[in-house]
This record gives sequence, C-alpha cells and structure tokens, in this order.
Amino acid sequence: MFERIFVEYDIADNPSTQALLERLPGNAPVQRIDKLENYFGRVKKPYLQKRNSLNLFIGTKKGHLIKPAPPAYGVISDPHFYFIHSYNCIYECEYCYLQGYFHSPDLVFYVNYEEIAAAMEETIHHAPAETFPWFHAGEFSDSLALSHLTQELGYYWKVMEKNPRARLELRTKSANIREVLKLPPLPQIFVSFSLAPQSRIVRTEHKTASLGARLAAMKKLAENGYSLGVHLDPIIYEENVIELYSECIDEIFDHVSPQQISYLSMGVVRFTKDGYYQVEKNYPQSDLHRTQFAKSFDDKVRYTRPMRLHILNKIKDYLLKKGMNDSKIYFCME
Amino acid sequence: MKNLICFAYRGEAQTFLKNLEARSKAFFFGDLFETEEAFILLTGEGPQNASEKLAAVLAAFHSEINLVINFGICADLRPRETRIELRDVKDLEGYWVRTSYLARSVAGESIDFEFRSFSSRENSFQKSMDCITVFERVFNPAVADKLSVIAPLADRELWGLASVCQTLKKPFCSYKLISDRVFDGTNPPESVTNTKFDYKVDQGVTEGDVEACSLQAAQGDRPSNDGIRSNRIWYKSITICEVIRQKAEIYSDHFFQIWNETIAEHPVITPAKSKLNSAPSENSNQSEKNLELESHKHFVFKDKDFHFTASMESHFNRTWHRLKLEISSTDSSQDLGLMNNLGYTWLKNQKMSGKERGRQLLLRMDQKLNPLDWEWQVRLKQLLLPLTKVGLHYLINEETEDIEIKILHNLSNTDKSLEEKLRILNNFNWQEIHQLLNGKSHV
Repeated sequence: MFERIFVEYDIADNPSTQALLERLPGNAPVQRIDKLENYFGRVKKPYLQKRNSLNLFIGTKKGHLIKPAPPAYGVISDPHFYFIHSYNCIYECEYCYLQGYFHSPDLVFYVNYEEIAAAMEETIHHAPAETFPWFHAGEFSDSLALSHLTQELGYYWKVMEKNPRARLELRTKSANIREVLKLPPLPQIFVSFSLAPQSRIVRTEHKTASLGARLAAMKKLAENGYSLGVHLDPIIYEENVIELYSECIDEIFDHVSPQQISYLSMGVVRFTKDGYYQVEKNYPQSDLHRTQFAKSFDDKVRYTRPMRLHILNKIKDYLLKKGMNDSKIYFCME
Repeated sequence: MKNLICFAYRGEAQTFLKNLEARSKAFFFGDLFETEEAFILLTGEGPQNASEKLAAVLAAFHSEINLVINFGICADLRPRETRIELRDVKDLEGYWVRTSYLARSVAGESIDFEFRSFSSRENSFQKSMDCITVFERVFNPAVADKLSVIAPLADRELWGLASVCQTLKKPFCSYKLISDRVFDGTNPPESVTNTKFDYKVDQGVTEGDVEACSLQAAQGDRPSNDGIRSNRIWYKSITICEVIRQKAEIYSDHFFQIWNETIAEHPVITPAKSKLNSAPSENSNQSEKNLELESHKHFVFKDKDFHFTASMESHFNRTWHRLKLEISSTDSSQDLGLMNNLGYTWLKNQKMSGKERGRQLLLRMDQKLNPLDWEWQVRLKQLLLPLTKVGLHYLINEETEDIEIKILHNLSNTDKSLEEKLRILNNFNWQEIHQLLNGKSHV
C-alpha cells in the first residue's frame, strides 16, 4: 500500500503510533524524520506518482486544527468548520482539487487526536448559543476510507456525546463503515456518502467503492440507527445526465427511504483555475473536458449558470417527485 | 533525429565511443562526439557543468535531437546491511529515474530543497526510482537520511540536465547505476582520518591508487581546510572517484547494453512515441503543448478557404480536442468525416470570407460539443432581441453571472430613439430571462 513510511521523532515511540504502524498493511520501511513539514510539500512530487509510489507521513498537526469552512458549504445558517486530521486520499478522482494542492500526493496522518478533539470543544464553546456548529472531516481526505487504520473516530464521538448541539459530518466515497458500527449511533453524527451513477464512478472516481457498495453501507447504517447525508456532487454533464441521476436516485431509494436521509446536497463540478490546469495535465483524455467551463462568481470555473441550474433543478425535481423533502435539499457552493 | 547521450565522465562513455565509432564534433568545447545513431556529450561533474554544456549543445543542435538520455552513477541513500561487492556485472544495480529533485545546499545537517522537480519521459519501466541531485558528494549519514526522504538515489548532474531539457522542450530520461552506499560501511567510519592503509583495505583499491590520490592532494586544489573532518571527506571523495574510475568500463558496458535493449524492447523511448505514450510530464506547460500542436496542425489550417486568427486557432484546437474526446477517437482518418458533419465541405462552397468561414465552423463546433449550452445562448439572444434591435447591448457579468444592459446614447434635440429605448426597457419582460438564467426555462 505504501512505498515508504515516515514518522516524526517526537511521536515515533508513542504506544499509539506503534499500534498504528502495526495496523498498516505491507512491510514498507519506516524511517524517522524530524518534522514532516521539512519534507512534505517542500518539493513538487508528481500527482500521478501516487499510483506506484505512495508514501505515508505520520506526525502531529501544529497551528490551527480547526478552520472555518468555505461559504455555502453545508446547511445554511449554521457555522461550519473542518478539522485537519489528514492530508490527501488513497482514491484518484479525476476532478479532485487535491491534485497539486499540497504539491505532493503522499498521505499525511496527523495523530494528535486529543488536541483536535480539544480544539473542537473550544470551537463549540465559542459558537453563538443558538447555532449548531458543524464539523466536517472530509476537506482534505476521505473521512472513512482509512478509519480502520487510524482508529480515530472514538475521539470525535466523545466530543459529540458531551456537546449535543454540535454536529459532525464524516464524508466518504468508501464503504468502510466498520469503525462507525463499533460506536453508538448519535443523532448529530452524520455519515454522508458522495454518490454518482455507477458509470460515472467507473470513468472518473478511480479506486473508490462502487455505487452498490456505498448504498449497501448506507442501508446498514440506516438499519442500525445512524444519521445519513447524501452528496450528489460533483455532477458532471453528459448528454443523458438527468436520466443517469434519476436512475441513481431510484437506486438510492431502493436502499434507504427519503425519510432516512437527513440532508442531501447537490453541486456541479467546479475547479479553481490552478485545479483545472492540474486536471488537464493529469487527465488530458478525461471526458470532463468535453464541456466548456466559464469563470463564475467566486473565481472558480463552472458550467454556465443557466446550464448548471438547469441540471440541478431537473435533478431536484426528480428528488421531490420521489418523496424527498424540499427542506432537506440544498445546492452546494451555489 | 538522434538521441543525445550524456555522461559525466569519459570512462562511463567509453563503450559507446568505441562501439558506435564516435567522431569528435567540432564545437566550442571538446567533449562532444557524433555517431550514426547519437550525439554523445561528456558533461563533467556537477549540475552546473552539466547544465552549461547541455544547454550549449541543445541550443546548437536542437532540431537534430529528439531525446536526451543520461547514463551515470549514483549513491544509494537508503540504509542497507550489505556493501557493494562488484565482482560480476550481475552485481550491478541500476534504475531508470522517475523524477529528478535538487538539494540546493547542504549546511551541516540542514538541507535546502529546490521546489521544482522534473519528471522523466521514461516512466513506463517498472524498475524506476527518484533521484536527488546534490552539489557535493554525500558522506554524512544524517544528511543522507534526510535526502532519502525525498529520493533514495543521489547523483551530481541529473537535475541540471533535466532543467535544461525543460527549458528547451526536449524529453529526457536517465538510467543510474548505484556505485556506492552511504550507510553500508564502504565509506570510512567517522574515526578514520586520512590513514592511507585503513582506507586502502576498506575500499580494496591498490596502493598505487592511494598514492595517486595523495599526489593529487599534494598538488592540488583541496576544497577547504577546516581540520580533520574536511580533510577526511575530501580524501574520501577523490578515493571513491578512483574506485569508480576503475570500474568505469564495467559500468559503460552495462549502460551500452541498457541503451541497446531499451531502444529495441521499449519503443516508448524512441522519439516519435515518447510524447504520445508516456504520461504527461509534471512540468509540461502551455508553451510545450503549443509546440506539440504546432507539429500536429489540423488540416483546416492549411485550407486556403478558411482563415483563423490566433485566438480562433486556439479556440479551434481546444474545441477539436474536446470533440475528439466526445467521439472517443484519436484516429485522424476519421477527422474529415467529423469535419464534414460540422459542415466543412458545405462551408467551403459558401460565398463568404475565409475568416467568416472559420467563425461559422467554430460556431458549429461549439454547438455540436455542448447543445444544452448552445440552446440557452440562442434562447437568450431571442429573448433579448427587442433590446438589441434598438441598440441596447447586453453582457454577462462574470462575477454575478447576471445580465447587464449597456446603454450608449448620443443625445440630440431631435432624436426620439432614447424615448423608444426607455419605453422598451420599461415594458421588457424580465421574468423569462430570470427563469432562463436560473435553469427553470425549457429551451
């Protein structure tokens, strides 16, 4: 899985680090380093090198552990934050903005989970009393894909148990829910799945779990009382995009009912200028490039407004027709 | 077109020079050779020498060179239990280089890494590794340990060569043989100073070699004189050079074999295919793409019935690439069929200027590529026709993605058109425009 593993000296002998190393598959050589910041992102490592040379850095996150999420990130009116526990992802989605974001595709695990949990508590205490502060774990990595290795979820569960008004979202493209199932369902912890038609997953979301596997995981969580979220995001235009998503929605509701989904976000594919350059370079043959993008309100490039709102409204209409409550649907970053 | 094969030392190139019957090439310096198959350049040691000489040669013979190949030795920075015992060619351990990095400076154990890296065109081989170029030989295990986080191999030239290739838009690849290891004991332990006898035994070099080194030391340019440690490092450096010099013939034979096998078995390295088959370089940029486009110009640009300005040409290339993705074809024999579907032949017979033909062709390409987007644009034009008819212009604001109306009017006493414009604006039905922009209108 990993070609080489680098561990910061300060934590190398901690029992939790040793236990993490024991859990890692394969027999990659482990090397101790001073500070991972001295190496990670200091040189430009080609993104696609992750296919045959993925390294893992294990260290502690310094500085801000919790950051405010971008506007229109989640349910409107509540403050949204993301916490930094990991960088980069084992998956390879062609549209992913992490391409080139850190100048390295290598994975980073920040293992100072107690400090992250403490920072969450502090953020909750500073949030206005009438609000529900949300914490998102999937900004720079998939929240669950490697959770059986990191085994960090328990730390976040404790924070949520103590703070009922806080909300936690674990966003994933995996079907890896075994660590979640070991913990009790809490109403304010949402496991959210990014979903797309299977044909799109095959073409664009390399190495991620199939739609069927993700839906089976959702069903199991729903049956066990966990709260669920769904992200139909990013939607990529193709001629029959509405039909494909209608079928995908049918499949979703074959596994869970609209009532079992706490919220559903939708968004079309979008890029920063640099991000799009990386996609063009790494995936010149991707069908993402079939459609023209235009600069839009936040300097990102998107489909033109009539086009993307047409797509989003059509899919939303279908969701409403299938019994999804309007108040649970929101457009992400629109 | 020929390969340009770069070596640091003549000894590493000797088999090539002999077997390919290389002739010295008259140039500004005497380290350039030419054969039927290749140019051969002896760069000298260090990234600066390498880049200076390669830049001169590539600039002078750019059109004759399709690929720069570097063969050379490197140090293995990874901790290993075994030392290198080179008794047979089977003992040789070599790797194609995947990505080239640079350590700009090493001060004590502190390293300043260069951010830019260069990926080799040759990345389809399984046995490939990353390599970091350093300005000085690495003897300090603590430094090697840090360098190895970035790359497991260290050399003295590659980054210099790769950066020139990047600047001059030439693909490069590199094959490195491990000549020494920092951690395996082939270097003298810390306690050793310049005791000739100890080192001789450790390295297996002859007493003559050591004598030669001592002579060099006596004659010459010792890099620094800050006590026992630098003395020892300098001594190690020149002695390792001697050891490598002894083995140069074996290395050169191996490089020659690799070059022959690679050309024969991996056509990806040959010029025509190297660009098409390999993954994009980390540093391929727009100007490189433009060069590629230049060499694969679409036939429509050679058609005298069509005229494209530079921006139209760029629009055409982008859209053409997307259309080819749409039909999932890279087969150029289908190009004419696709062009005729776009009305290429029909447009040729229409009475219009070449530029107008080009514009019409681009419109058709846009329409074909994105019918949904095209339809709303047509609908928007229709809806706004009452305004444009009376000279009211509109544009789409990039920030708000909303319609902005531009009113330009020359006022005069007798002109009634302002009144007419205001009347039309007043009565204009914006409802449909809003619906269209919000994706709620059926086009």
